[in-house]
Amino acid sequence: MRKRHAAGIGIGLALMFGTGPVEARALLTVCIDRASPLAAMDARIAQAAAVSQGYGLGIEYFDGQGLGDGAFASDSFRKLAGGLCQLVLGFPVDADAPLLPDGVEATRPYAQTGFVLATRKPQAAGALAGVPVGSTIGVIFETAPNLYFHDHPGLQPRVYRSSAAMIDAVANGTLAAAMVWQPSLALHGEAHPGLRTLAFQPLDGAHARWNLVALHGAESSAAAAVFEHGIAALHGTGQLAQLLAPYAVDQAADQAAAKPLPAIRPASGKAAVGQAGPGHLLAVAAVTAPRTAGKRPAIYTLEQARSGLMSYAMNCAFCHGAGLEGRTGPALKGEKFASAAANFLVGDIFFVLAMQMPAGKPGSLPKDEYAAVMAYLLQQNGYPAGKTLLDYEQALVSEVPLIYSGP
Amino acid sequence: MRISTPFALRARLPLSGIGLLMLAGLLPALAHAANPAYEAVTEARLLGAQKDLGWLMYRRDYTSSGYAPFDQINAANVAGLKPVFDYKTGLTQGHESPPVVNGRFMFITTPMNHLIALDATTGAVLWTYVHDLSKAALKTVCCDVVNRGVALFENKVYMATLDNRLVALDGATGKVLWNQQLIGADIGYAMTLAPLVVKGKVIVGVSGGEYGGRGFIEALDAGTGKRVWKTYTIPAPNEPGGDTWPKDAYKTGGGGPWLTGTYDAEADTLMWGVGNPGPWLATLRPGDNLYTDSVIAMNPATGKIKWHFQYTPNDSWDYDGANETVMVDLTYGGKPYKAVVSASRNGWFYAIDRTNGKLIYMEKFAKATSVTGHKDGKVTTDAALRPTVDKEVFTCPSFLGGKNWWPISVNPVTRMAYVPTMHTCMKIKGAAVRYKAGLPFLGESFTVMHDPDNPNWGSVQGISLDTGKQVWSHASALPWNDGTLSTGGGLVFSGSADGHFMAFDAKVGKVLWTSEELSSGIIGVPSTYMVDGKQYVAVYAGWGGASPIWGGDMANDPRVKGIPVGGHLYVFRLQ
Repeated sequence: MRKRHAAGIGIGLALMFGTGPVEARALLTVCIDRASPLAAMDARIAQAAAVSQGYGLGIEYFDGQGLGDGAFASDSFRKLAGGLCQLVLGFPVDADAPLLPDGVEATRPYAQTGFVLATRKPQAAGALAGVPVGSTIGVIFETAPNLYFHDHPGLQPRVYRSSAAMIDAVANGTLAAAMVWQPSLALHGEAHPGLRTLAFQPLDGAHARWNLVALHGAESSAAAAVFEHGIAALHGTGQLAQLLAPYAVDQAADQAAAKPLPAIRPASGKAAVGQAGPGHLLAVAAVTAPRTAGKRPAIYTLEQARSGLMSYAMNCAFCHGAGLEGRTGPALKGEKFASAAANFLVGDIFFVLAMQMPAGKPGSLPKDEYAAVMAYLLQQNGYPAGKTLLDYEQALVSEVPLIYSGP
Repeated sequence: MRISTPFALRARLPLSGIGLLMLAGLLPALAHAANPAYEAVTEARLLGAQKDLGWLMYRRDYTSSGYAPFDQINAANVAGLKPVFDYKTGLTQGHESPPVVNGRFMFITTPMNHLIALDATTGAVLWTYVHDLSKAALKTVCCDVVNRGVALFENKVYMATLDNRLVALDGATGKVLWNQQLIGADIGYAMTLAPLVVKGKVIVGVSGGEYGGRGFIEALDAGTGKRVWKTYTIPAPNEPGGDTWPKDAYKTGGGGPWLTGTYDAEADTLMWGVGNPGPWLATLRPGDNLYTDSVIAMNPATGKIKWHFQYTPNDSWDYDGANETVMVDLTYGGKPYKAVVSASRNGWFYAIDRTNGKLIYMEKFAKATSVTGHKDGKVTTDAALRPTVDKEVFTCPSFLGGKNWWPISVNPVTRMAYVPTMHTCMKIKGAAVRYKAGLPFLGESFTVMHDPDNPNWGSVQGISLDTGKQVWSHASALPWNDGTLSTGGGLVFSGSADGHFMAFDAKVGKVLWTSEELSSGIIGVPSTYMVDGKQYVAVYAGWGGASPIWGGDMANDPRVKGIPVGGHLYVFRLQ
């Protein structure tokens, strides 16, 4: 489930040197989500890709929220991509819904992974269609495979909150099968070699397939091209498929063979990060221990909060009160709203704000207006303004605790 | 920016004697000294509530008829109805409670759980209780901080609260006798309904279908407040109906039984409507998802479920089945039935055999496309009108329903049900969803829109109980969000969103009387009672509830946006 980290990104620059002295070589720098089940694989691939192009590799590990069940993202993507590293790994994009946040670019996919059907014995027929009617199939709460039961009414879903418990249930025969995020299955298999006996095959329903890409800002196009060349080289030697297994598969094969890479390729624009996780339509916010307020980061600008006040008055005040004190809807400031016990994160509240508000027309405001309203809520709950704009996509996954502190 | 029209700009109801009434309110000692005697509300009186001179429970009697036999005010003289007194609550949210009357004691509740006892003939304040909500954040109250009134038993008055408490007070004095917490506040549940007292137990249900709660009905000992039984409306995997859910999805399955049920004394059966499943997006929970959007019948001694009927299987449109359950004896296709009827959110009017839970008939009372009818008594839906995360659909009615909570009434003489109706459709599409305790759990985006075939937002209809077909309809440009009251005088009372309390001819729907414009739109359940040989009719004005919050294009209609707010009880009688 989600892991927490105090604020910003975990520190610990791990420089992985190539064969020569680092100062003599150009360096490719990547940020990798330590909590992703793909972290180790991504590190190996990045290393191999860099070396193949004569580069050294610097890895900045950060602790995103995604582990196992795949909720991913960092509340400071741009901090990562803009300053600490050139490329960010560990943010798969939905192959069915390729949309990227503004200003974020993606390399050509270096692999594909996604949701798979895990069974104890190899299936004769394809995926769900081959499972005997009446079987109970495990599925992670609120992930895309929940959608597939609709077309397979003979199968009985059982909802799990964690991949580990679900995979164990397949292994011990409690479940006929489970629909699991392939990297989670692979990681679990590494820890428990007995699970390697599980068979799995890809699911082909909506939002089942996810592309692995490196994300970057426009300023890192050159680094992205180096990475893509490196991937092409690994693909050419067959090394890529080995590095990916059993987490993901090399999908570049045909495409790369047919079309050589351009020397410097502008990163393809709009593939996208799902709002809430790889394959999580639908991320689960885990309940964790209440925390204390601690230091309040400045994650919005004063101008945003001012603009947010205007939008709040237009769209929110009727229900939530002109001073956020609550009226027909709940108060949006104060100790009762943002209590330590409620354990709200900025991302939790912003998700509701952006997805379900205003109640009469959810999702109808421009993204920057939603971000501005969140800035106003932060201001009113005692958070300082700063130089950083609160960004829509970042706010959706922000793990900054929201706890009221005056005035 | 939405600012309500200032109260002062509205035509006010002229009232004589208001100064005297206010004086009485300001002098509680004097008022108290003059308090009338409080007659105990015995079980016999509850069983005979239909004939009582007061209004002893939410829908007057155990059948939830909303019908009083009084005929002093009737079709011939209703035009002479005049205001006797009014009472301003000072709160601006939705005022939904019916005045509940025992002798001279009238009990009304307000948003934010104030409970006020008034002299039913003068409006003098006898006592006031303000529930302490200072520790509750009210984060899991979906549709305004409303309350729908009290229950009475013996010497006690009961109110269910937004922070999930049941409070018992002394009816004569307002002294709190006990205050029992059912479940914590702000974790997914709230209570807004009027409790129901059956055989010495106070029975309540929770709201919470929008917050991933698991609905339940709970019975507490009326004397002590101790829990007697608690029945979840969403079965666990090992219980009957548990296989209609993905295993473990029941924990966040919704099914709030958030309105007051009905008691069939003859069969000793409690009937209760159950709300929508959670999250709204049905593709996340394949199966019928019992007992969401259903009426369930229970043994009142144990809470054990006897039968159920589901109005909307695998609901993806927020079509709660919580609406009224009204007992009527009807004849359909030449056969007599002991039935329970309900005008469901999904736009269909249902008659169910209350002896076994089988469908007698279902007929559309509003434009209804999501639910298509039934096959062998099991309700069917249109698969093409189910939203998914990749598909937006346009379907009817909107999630606010062909009718929302506003209760219907019936009249045994006209053999009709009187149904406040909303004419809306919606665009709806799956969206991302996350569960976290204390936050909404929907997974759909939506906009309430006009029914393309109807220029009006609302109407009031007379529907034949023996056919399920419309007999008359009164169109309303504005939404009609008020329950109805039927009387032996051949009248139907209900209030409009533009603040007019009206009396209709029960047979043909002709408007026989319209009040002057009251201070706000009317969503309060009307009631009637007799004191000292005079019949009174009472209703709250106080616009609010779900419509202005969730109403999309309807809420944004300038005529709806301009409805002033503010709670005000009005009481009328013949001069």
